[in-house]
Amino acid sequence: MGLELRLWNSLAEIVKLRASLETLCQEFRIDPKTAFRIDLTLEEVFSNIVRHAFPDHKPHEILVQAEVEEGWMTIRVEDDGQEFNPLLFPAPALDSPLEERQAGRLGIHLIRTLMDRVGYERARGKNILLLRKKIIGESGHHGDC
Amino acid sequence: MEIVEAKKGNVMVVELIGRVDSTNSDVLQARLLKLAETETIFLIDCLRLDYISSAGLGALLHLLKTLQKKAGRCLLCGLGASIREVFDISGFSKLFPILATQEEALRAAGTNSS
Repeated sequence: MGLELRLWNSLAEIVKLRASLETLCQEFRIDPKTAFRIDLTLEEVFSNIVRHAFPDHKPHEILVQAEVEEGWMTIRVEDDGQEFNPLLFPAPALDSPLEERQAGRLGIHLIRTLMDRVGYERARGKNILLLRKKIIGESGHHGDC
Repeated sequence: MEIVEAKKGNVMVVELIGRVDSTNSDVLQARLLKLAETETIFLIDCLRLDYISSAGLGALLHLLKTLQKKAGRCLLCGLGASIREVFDISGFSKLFPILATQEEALRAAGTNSS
């Protein structure tokens, strides 16, 4: 009833991540708009980890688990990189002038905005990010999504 | 990702097709900055763009910052609902004039050109 992926800390692994998520979303008939938000969130999470979590530049494994239950998709992402709690990261100033804009700050903002719940835990030397998204199947009658 | 370029009048129209993400945004950025060496008015047509992440937004931000230094401009058109949402959440809708169609955008680019 879900997926479990072990990925290397390489941006090229996003292709695998996306393919697996796409299959999962199709399996549960998740509407395209929600699937887009999940897809985007996972890329932002994964690319952040790849870019910032491993100053040793050595190969590391990133574990991604996702399951769908009772109208919610729950995604758990675990890495053994340096401690980083995205919930403590300040939101970017979205009204600031062009010169002060930085794309690097947008990923976490997107994650927090697109998911319904985001939780973080540091345990046994690992970062564990828990993402939850209410899902609306195509056959559902939840009105506007 | 596919990038299709076409010069229309004094506007450099760049159509983005497919997905712009962390795996290819550097290619897009390099291409846009190369074009910006000679072009000053850009229209990014997103009609056939299926997906963009913050990495792709970064490439567009670099273009805009480069253009600003020489009083250039960059407009967007053809944004689907999900792409539009990414721009809205990121505050990028305020940085770029966004028009529905390429025709409207070309008209806007033309009438406002200095």
